[in-house]
Amino acid sequence: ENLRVLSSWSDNYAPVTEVLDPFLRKLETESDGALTLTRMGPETIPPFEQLDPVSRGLFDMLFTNGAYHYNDTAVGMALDALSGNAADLREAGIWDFVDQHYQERGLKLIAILYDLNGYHIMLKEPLTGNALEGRKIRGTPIYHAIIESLGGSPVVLPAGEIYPSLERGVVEGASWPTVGAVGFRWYEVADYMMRPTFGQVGHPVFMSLDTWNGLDAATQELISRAAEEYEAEAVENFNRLVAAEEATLEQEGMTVTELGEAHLGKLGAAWYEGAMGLAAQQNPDAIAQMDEMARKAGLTP
Amino acid sequence: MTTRPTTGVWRRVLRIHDAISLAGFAGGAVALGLIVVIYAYEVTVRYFFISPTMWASDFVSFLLLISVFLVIPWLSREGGHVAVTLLPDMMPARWADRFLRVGFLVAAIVCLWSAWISVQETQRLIERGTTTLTTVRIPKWTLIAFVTYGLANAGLYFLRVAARPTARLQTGDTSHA
Amino acid sequence: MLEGIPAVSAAIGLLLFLMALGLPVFIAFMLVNLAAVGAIMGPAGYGMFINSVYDTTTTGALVTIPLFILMGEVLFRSNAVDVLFRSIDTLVGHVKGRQYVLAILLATVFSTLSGAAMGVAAMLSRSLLPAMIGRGYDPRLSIGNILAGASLAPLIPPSVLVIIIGTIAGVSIAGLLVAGILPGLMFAALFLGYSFFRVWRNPALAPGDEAPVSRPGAGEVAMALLRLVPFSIVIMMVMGLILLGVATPTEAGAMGVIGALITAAIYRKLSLRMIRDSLTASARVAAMILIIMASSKLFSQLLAFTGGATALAELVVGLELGRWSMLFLLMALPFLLCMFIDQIALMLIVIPIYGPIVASLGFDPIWFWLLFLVNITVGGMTPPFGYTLFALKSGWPDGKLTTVFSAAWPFVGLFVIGMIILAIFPGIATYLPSLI
Ligand code: NA
Ligand code: NA
Repeated sequence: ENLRVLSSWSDNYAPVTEVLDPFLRKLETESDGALTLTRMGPETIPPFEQLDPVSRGLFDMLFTNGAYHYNDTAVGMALDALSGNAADLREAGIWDFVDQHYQERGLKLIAILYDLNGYHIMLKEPLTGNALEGRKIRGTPIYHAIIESLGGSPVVLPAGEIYPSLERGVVEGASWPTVGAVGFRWYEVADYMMRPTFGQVGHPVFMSLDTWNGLDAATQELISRAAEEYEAEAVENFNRLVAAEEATLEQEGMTVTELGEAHLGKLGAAWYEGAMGLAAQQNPDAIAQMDEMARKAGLTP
Repeated sequence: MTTRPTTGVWRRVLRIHDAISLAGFAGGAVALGLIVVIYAYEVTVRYFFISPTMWASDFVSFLLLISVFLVIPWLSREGGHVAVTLLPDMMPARWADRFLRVGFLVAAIVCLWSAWISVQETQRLIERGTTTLTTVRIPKWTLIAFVTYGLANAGLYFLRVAARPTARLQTGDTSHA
Repeated sequence: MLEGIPAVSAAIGLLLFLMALGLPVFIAFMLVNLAAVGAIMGPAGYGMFINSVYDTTTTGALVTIPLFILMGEVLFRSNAVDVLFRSIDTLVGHVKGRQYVLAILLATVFSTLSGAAMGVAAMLSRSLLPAMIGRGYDPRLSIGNILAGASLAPLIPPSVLVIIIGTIAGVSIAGLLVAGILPGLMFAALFLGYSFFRVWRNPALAPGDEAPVSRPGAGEVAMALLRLVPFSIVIMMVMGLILLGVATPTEAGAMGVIGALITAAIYRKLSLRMIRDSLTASARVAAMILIIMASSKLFSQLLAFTGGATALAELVVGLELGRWSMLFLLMALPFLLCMFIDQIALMLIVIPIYGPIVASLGFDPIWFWLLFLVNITVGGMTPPFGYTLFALKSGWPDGKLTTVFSAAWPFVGLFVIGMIILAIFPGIATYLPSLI
């Protein structure tokens, strides 16, 4: 069986080649060649329009981030607010809850590939005692609460405008996952990265429910088992990737700027409340349930 | 310009159709003006008051879509679309005329077909409660409704152009290509 | 189901056929798209069409196009171009074909600002072109200069295309941007040389310049310079605000419109009626261009989906030919494909496939990707399909598209000559980046 895999990013986002591709190869190997997987990227479907064609079965699998479709359902985005790895989520019942939710929308959750290193803010100037006071920071809505809690003003700009806006000083900083500054070459225009990081970056892998139901029980079993195994491997792959990126960034002259004690305490809560609050606007009931499960299992900051 | 003998009612329907489309066209132009105003405002408050808006870039992108699809029907009425009339230009006038009429009929079918797809898409978006992926979120179908309007109404004008007598057709697309 | 290279050939063949029939370009695209979606994916895929249209027409970066067109409309109605012409007459004096210099100069300056060739082409075809034709200048030579100048847009910062190449190919963006400066000037010089050559051979191409111009006195020169001030407000509003980091390139387009309105006010041409006329005219032109971009987006997506473009690129990369033959083929493929598919889609498909072979052939990455950048930009002005061509035509309702096509070819030729020079003398591209 040949499956078409849709990715929200091209090769310039390193997790595509370093995390997704090994997963696809693993599935091919473990199925003894019964499954072949072809990866396609945003040149076939724009990143923010990908959930629908996969749920309709035009593609068989999707590698994405929840924030890319939170206008449709925000449950995937809430994954980025939680603490803990995929195994913790499985134990707390959250993994199955998310799976059920997406199945109602024609998608089967296959794996949650977590980058536990989370998100950060790149800056042109180091942090001061007043954190980001008076600075304009690029960020999509999920970052707004955290930027504001540090005294900055969020500016909404598409990813493609980050480079020129940092270069010219239209914004003084930009938020993004910790992986990315190398691939997108932002180190050419920003010299500092804020630490600590916050949140964790979920990369859910979905399968079209029709494709899934069309597979025999043995193949379904094989995919589920391989995916669960790979969730743990993915964390390692991401860690290796982040370590390599940080070494490159250091070499390119980008340095860490630490957040002061005064703001440190607010960071985790601001991220959790911000992301969950945003998600609740789209799916109030589902997010309330997730929040309850997460709190019970101690998976909140 | 000679017009086809039509009944008074039919003529009035066409006049109402034109009035609606003209109003849409004016709306498209206003949308463009609003884009300038919004960006000028955003640049001012961001640079001088360090208080960027959360809505400026969202509304600008909505207005771009709205402007395009409000204007498309009027463009179709004027025969203002870009076309490469290589073959028709090589034909005798009578033939070229028939040929282009068939072309406009095809254009009408394509537009109306797309509009129908857009209607189905609208239904699906309403069912799923999909919003726009922006800071200020509005139901996505409200924007797709402009797409539907633009495609459907452009289709109607292509039908009208295809049915027009020769004299009028000549001032249509051919002279622009 | 058609796949790979046959699918590409079939789709492009059908598209060319429908366009030659005289269907509006956007209708030809929509028809091919719907037919292809139906054949490849079945009715479930039709929704892709609406999503693709939605995605394109809500892309913030494309707002630059209507804004630059609006700037052109306001300048056109404010008499600014005539004033500019008269100042150039006084300052430059006798030089025959001097307004071609102006065309290239303005196209280069504005493309520097916008990064989008389409916006600049439409803006100048609304403001400069009618004035040039009115003075008896040759429409073809004028159009060619505007197209070619506008096509320098991605070469000079700000440039979205450079950022995309830099990130996908892993080349220094800052380096690529600097690398574009000398080649950009070289291309502009080629266009100027060609225009002067044509005017020298056939003075009728610039008849207005026959009129004897008396030697201007110091007072006249001062007046001519003074008259340029209001016009330079527009340039300051756009370039200055981008360079100072006050506005993004897209927002700077809106500030340029305000600059144009100020210019119009200084020339006492500002009125509600004038604003209304400018808005309606630019809404028309912008819709013409954007509906073509919106309907052609899915065409590019489908070519990617069928794997046709990938198969072609892999075929070329797999040929084991010599260095120069490979360079030729690596450039020829995107040159041809860019006639039909969107530049950004093409880059996403081709660059990752090209990456390894560029390294294995030992090409200097900056040099190679700069050639690539020039190459795909020219794709926008090679007939029969090119956004820049359609943008220019949209702003020039009195003309024929076939005229625009024939105007473009000599300048496409000049671009090819320029690329050959760049290929032989890589230093033109690599010298400046080597300094940083
Ligand atoms: Na530029
Ligand atoms: Na072309």
